Amino acid sequence: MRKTLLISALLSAFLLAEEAPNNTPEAAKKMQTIDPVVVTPIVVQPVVVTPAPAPVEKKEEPKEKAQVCPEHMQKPTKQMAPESYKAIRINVTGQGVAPTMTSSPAQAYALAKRAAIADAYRLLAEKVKGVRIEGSDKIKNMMVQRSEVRTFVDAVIAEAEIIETVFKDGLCEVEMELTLDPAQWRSILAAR
Amino acid sequence: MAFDLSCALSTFHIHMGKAPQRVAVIISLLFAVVCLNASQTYILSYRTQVKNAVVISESYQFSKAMTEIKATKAESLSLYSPHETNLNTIMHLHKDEILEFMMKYGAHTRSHEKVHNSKSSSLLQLTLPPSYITVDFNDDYATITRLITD
Repeated sequence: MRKTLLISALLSAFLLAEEAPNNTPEAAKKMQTIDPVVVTPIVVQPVVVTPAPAPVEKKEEPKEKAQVCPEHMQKPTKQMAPESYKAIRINVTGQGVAPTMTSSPAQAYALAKRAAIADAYRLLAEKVKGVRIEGSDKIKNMMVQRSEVRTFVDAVIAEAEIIETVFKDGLCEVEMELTLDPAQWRSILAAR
Repeated sequence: MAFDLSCALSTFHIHMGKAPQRVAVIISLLFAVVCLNASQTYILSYRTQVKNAVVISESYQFSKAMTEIKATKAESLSLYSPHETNLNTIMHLHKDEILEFMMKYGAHTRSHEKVHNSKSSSLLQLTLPPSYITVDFNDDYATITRLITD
């Protein structure tokens, strides 16, 4: 029992000797160089209770009044008909020739005018409905033997008006105009 | 028309007791007035063929409608034709105006053009489809009205 107590005392002494380096003269010197702790007194200031200020209502700054002057005013948009509502006008000039064998100049004029009107209707139909074209070439021994182009037009034209008729030197020219309603026709013409 | 009828009826009452012949005359007059005022329906059609810019054939047909039709009146054209009662003459005298008026409401055009070895030839056909019209005579004017069938 005594032995165990002795051993434990020795061990504890040994451990204490290791843990305490301050006992050395170097450690003592270090201890001297450490700055002394400056203790500053804490001054507790008395709390002054002041009545809370009345909440200041924020006055809304009056907004600047909208300036009404011609410079700042929105410019009125022109009430013009847009492009899509403008009438589509198609003008053509048909030509017709009087036959050589006529009984009178009046008959020649009448027939030439008739031919010119028919030609003008054809031109209008070409523009409004279009032309079907077929062509064929025959080439033999690297030479064109026959060349043929055929065109077809088939349409019903309404609301066409004769604008002017000129008869000169046996040739009659008839100017015709066709006015199309854009609301009805623009989509059709654009789709082609 | 209502005025004519009332006049006729009043004269009928006045002269009732005098003579039955007068009554017959009045009734016949009344019938004639009714018939003259009624407009007759006609069918008009036109076709022309133009070859190489020269008219080669033309047909202008005008005849009474053989059957009654249900139609509404559309646009009309007044032709000044004094001292002329024959409808055929009027229709041929004012052929250009009538055709221009009728073609405004639809003309069928068909064209074939051929270019063979750089030589072109064309055949054009302009047709006014058979259309109903009425003709009324009033104060030296013949009024042609286009009819649209229901």
